[in-house]
This record gives sequence, structure tokens and C-alpha cells, in this order.
Amino acid sequence: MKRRITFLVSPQENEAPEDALRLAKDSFEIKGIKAIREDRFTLTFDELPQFVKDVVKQTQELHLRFDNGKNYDEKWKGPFASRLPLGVHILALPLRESKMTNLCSFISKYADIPCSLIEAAFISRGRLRQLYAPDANILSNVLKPLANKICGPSKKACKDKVLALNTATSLDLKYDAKSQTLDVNVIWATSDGNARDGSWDVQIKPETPTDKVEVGVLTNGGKTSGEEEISLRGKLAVVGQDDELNPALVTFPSRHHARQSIYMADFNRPTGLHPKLEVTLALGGNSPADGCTLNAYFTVPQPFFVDPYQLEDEKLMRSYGINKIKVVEGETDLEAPTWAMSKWGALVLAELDVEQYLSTWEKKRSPMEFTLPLHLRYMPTHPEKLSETATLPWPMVFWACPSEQWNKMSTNPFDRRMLGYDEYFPEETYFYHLTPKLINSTHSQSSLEVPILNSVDSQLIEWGTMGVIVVGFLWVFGTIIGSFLRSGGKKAAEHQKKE
Amino acid sequence: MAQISVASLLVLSSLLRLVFLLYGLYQDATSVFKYTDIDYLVFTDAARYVSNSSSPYLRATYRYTPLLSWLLLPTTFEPQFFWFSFGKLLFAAGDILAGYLIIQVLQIYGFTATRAMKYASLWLLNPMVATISTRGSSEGLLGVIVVALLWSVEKRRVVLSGAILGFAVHFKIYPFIYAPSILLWMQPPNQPDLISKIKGFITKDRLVFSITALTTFMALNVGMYAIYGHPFIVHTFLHHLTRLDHRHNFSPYNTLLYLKSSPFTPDPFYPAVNLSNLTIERLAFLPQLLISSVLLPLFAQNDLPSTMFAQTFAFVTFNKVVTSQYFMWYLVLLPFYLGRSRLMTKPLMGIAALVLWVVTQGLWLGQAYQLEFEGENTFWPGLWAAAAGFFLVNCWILGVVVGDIGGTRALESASGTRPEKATLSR
Repeated sequence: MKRRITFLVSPQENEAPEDALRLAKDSFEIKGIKAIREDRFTLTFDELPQFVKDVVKQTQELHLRFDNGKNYDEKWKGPFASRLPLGVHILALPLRESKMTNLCSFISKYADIPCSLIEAAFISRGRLRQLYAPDANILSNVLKPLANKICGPSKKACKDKVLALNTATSLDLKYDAKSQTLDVNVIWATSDGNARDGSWDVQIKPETPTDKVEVGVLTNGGKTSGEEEISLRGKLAVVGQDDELNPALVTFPSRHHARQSIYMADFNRPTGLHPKLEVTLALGGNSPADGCTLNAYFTVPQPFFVDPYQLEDEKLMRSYGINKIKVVEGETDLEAPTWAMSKWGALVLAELDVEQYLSTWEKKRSPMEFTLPLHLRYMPTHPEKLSETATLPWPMVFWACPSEQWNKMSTNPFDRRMLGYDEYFPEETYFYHLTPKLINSTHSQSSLEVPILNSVDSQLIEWGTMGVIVVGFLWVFGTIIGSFLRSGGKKAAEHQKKE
Repeated sequence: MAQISVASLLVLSSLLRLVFLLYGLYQDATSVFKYTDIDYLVFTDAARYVSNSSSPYLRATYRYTPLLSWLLLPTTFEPQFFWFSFGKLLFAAGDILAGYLIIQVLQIYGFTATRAMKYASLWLLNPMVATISTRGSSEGLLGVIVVALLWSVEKRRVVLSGAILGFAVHFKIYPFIYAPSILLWMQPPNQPDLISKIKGFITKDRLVFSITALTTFMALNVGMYAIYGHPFIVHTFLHHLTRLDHRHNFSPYNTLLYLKSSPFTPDPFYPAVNLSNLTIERLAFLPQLLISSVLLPLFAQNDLPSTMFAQTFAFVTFNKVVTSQYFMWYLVLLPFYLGRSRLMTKPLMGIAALVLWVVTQGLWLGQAYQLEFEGENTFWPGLWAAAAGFFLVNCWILGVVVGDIGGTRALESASGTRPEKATLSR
């Protein structure tokens, strides 16, 4: 197992004091550093626990990602700018014709996400299969049983390490059959609380004397010559091997960059059964580079759904600030209730009408707004509730710009691909990410109440309906019979008269 | 009404629809609130699939006969700004033709031209009818088919009548309820009592009518199945038999259907109380079909068009799903009934019926608006009670209709003239 730990110190923070970093013979000590931390583990296939082997050996490529949907604050994010809608995202490419049954039973066992068959639970994007669960707490629920499984019941130290992932801002697992390795990437925006102000006080030691741990404490390396590049400078060391910290300055093209623009979203009220998510962007007056488009990536879970035909209406979409809907994939049945659905929902990739906005920016100087029209499915009845809470994660909003250095992106030691939306852009693309701004909420999501039928009076509803139908029926039936009798009587009377 | 000719009434109705159509184009071009009906987009999308030689059923929610998408093929022609509205023109033309036929049929029943025009105006100059067809809803086409059926039956065109009925049932299933009425109406005059009626039930006309209707219906189905295969059967017919229909609509069954189709969570205070095994929703077709296609046809000999009106009214009222477009189905037959109705001779009763029909419908719409657009939970009891109230009002009106058509032998009481039916053997 290879391990690499990076502390990314914001340039606004004071330079780390000399005694903040201390490299000893077999450990590296860090004190009082405010930083984003990334841990990267690389495991070969043979190092994996059996149940993980079972899952990955059915896949050509597997990406399992989690994002906790919390703020990064206004920290400098360097190469860690890309985020995802909160919750779990799985992208899986089956190995040959595999049904990936082990992946399916894995997620239903550990993540409690119903999965009888991949085809029933995942949406299809060509050969690719995608699943999303909008649950920010899912990680803590998954980790406990997983820690037991991986470590065995008695090894507390091992379990603590696994459970520490609980506080991660984001977690990526990536396996591909070509390299036969599993990469685990964990990012913490702040320390998980062993210091008061979110700064890191840690001692890093290799697990075994033969393990190597690479540690870097890096900050912004300053301006780069190219727009697409990020430069980092700081100190590096391999614990257990190096005797002293090595100064470092690295520059590399990065697929993901942060943009100093924030956005917020909420439903327009009242929401009704056709809610609209309104997103407000503090965009400023210009695009980051020539030829960029501004995009929003939505993962729309049940009970929400989009009407693809409505989204095709370009005039309507323009009025909502959307230039065109590039992609709608997944479950878009327009009529079925949630209980008839087996898939999680649909994804939507929208290209925003930024040209229109920028052309009036000088005059108006107002924030940009766009709206996604949604609809709600009927949800199951309940004896104690009048409504169910439905939660929609905010979209990710980003600029996609034509890249010149695209073929060198993989030299980036922090590169991130297959996020769910980047596959829809040409390879020659790099991204500027906007930051969700959370006000009065802890997660980047919005909720609303879906009215449901309260079933406490179910007996009354049943008998009442029956009663009404019977009364109506008998009334009509009675008048029909009455008419027959009367006309029969009349006929008889006429008959008698004639006689 | 001032004395105007049939032609000028038709021109006036056409102008009305043209104004609505143009207004709709204007609203669609300028507002995000579309005048055009969502279903029209479904039809025209389906037509586009057909124009690319693929199946109209590739369009989600296309639940109609392929004939409709064929009819609308011109909507795919260039230039689009003109041809796209072709379907609306077609539906509006269908309206006008239906109106013209209403006038013709009313005159067969001895109405003077002026009086026929007055009643036909209920359809021709009705803004609701004009709106529905110019928004691009196909219900108006059904109107013309049904009135054409009535016309051809009254004109003794037996083969044509059978063909129209077969076509109509292929187009929208529900006109099958007219089959028993028309069969009973084809009563030979020389059978005075019930026994001779039963003995001599099978007549040449009845046979020819049944065979042509069945042949037309099946030929269309077989033809469409040959072209489009299983999806044709699924979307045109099976869908209507198996649909869940849990979403709110005017039907008195709709709250119950939601309750029964949803997974049930027991009440923690009364965990033993479960949903009953009462399955009235599965038996809903019983009262509906008993009234609309068994009992009411027995009045057909008294007055065929009014009977057909009553049948349609009953079919819609007792249906498991009711939307306002279904009201068009009986509205087209209303002019035939209204002329002889107590709702006209007793104005108070007529006004009460109209007011109650409108008010209970309005109450339901209010509850539905609060649910759909304000997110307020009006499922129970508001929406349920409004639907129940509307249903009961409809039943009361149906009772009045039944009293009218069952109480007298024919149209004479209202119009004062013997109906043409007396000259049956022409």
C-alpha cells in the first residue's frame, strides 16, 4: 500500500512557523496548521479484502464518490476545486457482459440502497451505469459495518482509522481493471476536531517499517504562465526514508480550478407539485477565458422528476436563464408514483444562458439567475403524516473552457476524472468551479414538503367513497326503473282505452 | 336569435376559432404560459416519428391510434410556422363539421332550421369547445365522428353506420357503448310485443351493422398491429385498462385509488386496522357499464340521440378517471337532448343544474389548485368531498335526463311535431 498525504495551506494563512513541521526518523509531526488535507492510498488488487475483490473484479472501471455537501469555507482550494452534489455517486463500467451483481449486493448490504439488479437501480448511459443517493449521512452508516468487515471485530486501531473517514468532506474510490489498483482519495476541508480552530495537530507514522508515506505541506506557488496551470510550493518528505524536508516547487496543468464566484439555490414558494429550483449566481461581469460555457449539473432524485419534453422547449428554457439542456438521462416517467419507481432519478446537464446575462451586466450589475422546472411524484400515504420532506441537492455550477494543455492533464498528481459531468465534454476541456454559499443551512441542498394523503381515515375514505357511489348509482338506477314502470303503466292504460 | 343562414353561422363559428387560433399563436410566441395543449405536442412529436418512418409510440405518453399521428403528418412539413398549426385547423374544422351535422340531424327530427341552429350554437359558438380544439386537443374529432354516426344511423345508412362505429371504437374505445342503443333502435315496426321482439331480434340490418362495425374495428386493429406491433396494443388499449390513475382528477374514485395503490403503513395506535379487502375500485366498471351500456340503451327507441347523450354522461360520471376534456364527449350530444328537456321547460331546474354543475366543479378546481400550486394538503377531505359532490350533482342531472327520455315515447312533447322516425320504412 502506498500512501500520500498532502496539506494544502491557504496563502492567506500565516506561513507555517518553523517548528510547526518536525521530521523525525520514523515520524512526521505537524502542529497548528490550517489546511485542506488529502490522503491518497493506492492498493494493488492483491492487497484488497476478498469482498472488495469480488466487487471490483466484475468491473472494467468503478468510481465511488461521496461528498458531504458542506462548505469548504472561503479557503484557497488549489487543485481540490471540484465538488459533487452531496451524497454518494457511483459510476460503473462492467467488465465485458458482467451484471455486476456483487456491486449491487454490496451497496444494498452496506449502504442500504435498494438494489435487486443493477439494471433496476442504476441508470444507463451507454454501457456506463450510474447511481446516486442524496444522503449526506450515508458515509457514517456505511463505515461501521465496513470497519468490522475489513478489520475484524477486535482491532480497534484499524477500526478507528476507517471510522475517521466519517468526517471527510469528500471520498473517492477508483478502480480500473487495466492498472488493477484501487485508489482511495480522502479530503478533509478542516481537521476533524483535535484542535480548536480546525487546524491540524498530527503525527504521521508508517504502518509498518516497510511502508512509505509521502507527506507534503504545500501552498500556492504564485502566478503561472498559463491559465490552466497551478503552481504549488512547500516542503516534501518521505517518512522513514528522508532525513530532512525537501523544498519543492511544482507546476502542472489542472483540469479543475476554483472561481471566486458563489451561488445559492432555493425553491420558489409556494412549491406545490411543480416546484422550481431557483439558483442565484454572483457571477461578476466576465467569463474566465474565451470560448467558455457556464453549466449546471443536477442530480435529481425521487420524488422529483424533470419532464424532458418541457426541457426541450428552448423558449421556455431561455426564460429560465438556460441556453439549452444538453443531457437528461435516467428515470423520466411522467406519471408513475414513487412506489412504482426502482431507479434513483435522473441527471440533467444544463448550459446556462450566460451570453444574455453578460451582455446586460454593465447596465444591471445584478446577480445572474436561472431556474430548473421540476415536478413531484405522488408519495406513499402515511397514518401520521400530512407531508413528506423531499430534498434536492444543489447543482454543481462550473465554467467549461477549451483547453490547450488537455493532453498533459494526467501529469497532475491531483487529477480527478469521471465525476458524472466531465464525460459529456470533449477531452479538450478544463473547468472553473463556482462555490455554493450556505446561508442558514449546513448542507448544499434545499427541501420542501410534499403533501401526501393521510391514511388514518382510510376506513372512512373507503366506506365514504363506496357510500357516495352507491347513493349516486341507486339514484340513477331508481329513476331508470321508475321510468320503465311508468311507461309500462302508460302503455297498459293506452291499451285498455283502445279496447 | 336574428334570422341568419346556416352558412353564416358556420362562417361565424369558423371566425371564432380562427381568432382563438391566432390569439394562441400570439400567446405562444410571447408568453411562457402556453396556449397550446401539452397533448398537441405529444401528437405532433408522434407525427414526427412517423415522418421518419418510425413508431409514434416512441413518444412517451402517446396513447392513441396511429391514425391520429398519420392525420397530423402535415404538421411536420416546412415551413413549420405554418404547418405546425395544421392539426389545430383540422380539429377546428372537425368542430365545424360536427356543428353542421348537428343542424342536419336536428332537422331530421323536425326542428326548423332556425331552432336547429339555435341548439347547434351550444356547440358551434361555445367558447369552451372552440378553445379546446384550437389548443390542439383531439376530443373535437371524436365529436364529429359521433355526430356522423348519429347522422348515418338516422339516414338508414347501415353499412356506413357500422363502419363509423368500428372506426370510433378503434379511435377512442368508449363509443362502444352506442352499439347496444343503435341495435335496439333498429327495431322493425311489425313486432308489437316483447316475445315477438326477442324472436325476431336478428334482422338483416342488425346483422349488417354488427358485422361491418366488428370488421372495421378489427381490420384497423390488425392493420395497426401489423405495422406497429405490440406497442400499439399496449398504448392504445391495454394502458387504459391497467393504468393506476392515482393522481387527482374529477372522479369520485381518485382519493380511494391513491390510497389503495400506495404501500400501506399501519397506524401505530391501531396496528390491527388495515386496509379492507373491499375492492370497489376494481368493480368500478360494474355500475358504469350497467347504467351506460345495459340499462340506458333500453330507451334508445324513445329517442336515440338523447339516449346517447345520457349514456355518455353516465359513462363519464361513473368513470375511474375524469378530466375536463371528457366533458366534450357528451357536450356534442347535448343539443339533441336539451330541446326536449325539463331543464329548458322548467328554467329553475335548468338553472339549478347548471349552477350546481359549475359550482361543484369550481370547488374541486379550487381544492386542486391549492394542492397543485400552493402545496396545501387538500387530499382529504377537501378534494375527496368536492369530487363526491360533483359526482352526486352529475347523478342528479342524469336522473333528470333519464326521467325525460324514459317518461315520454318520443320527441313530440317538446317540439310539438311528430318525429321523422314515423316514416321509418323509407
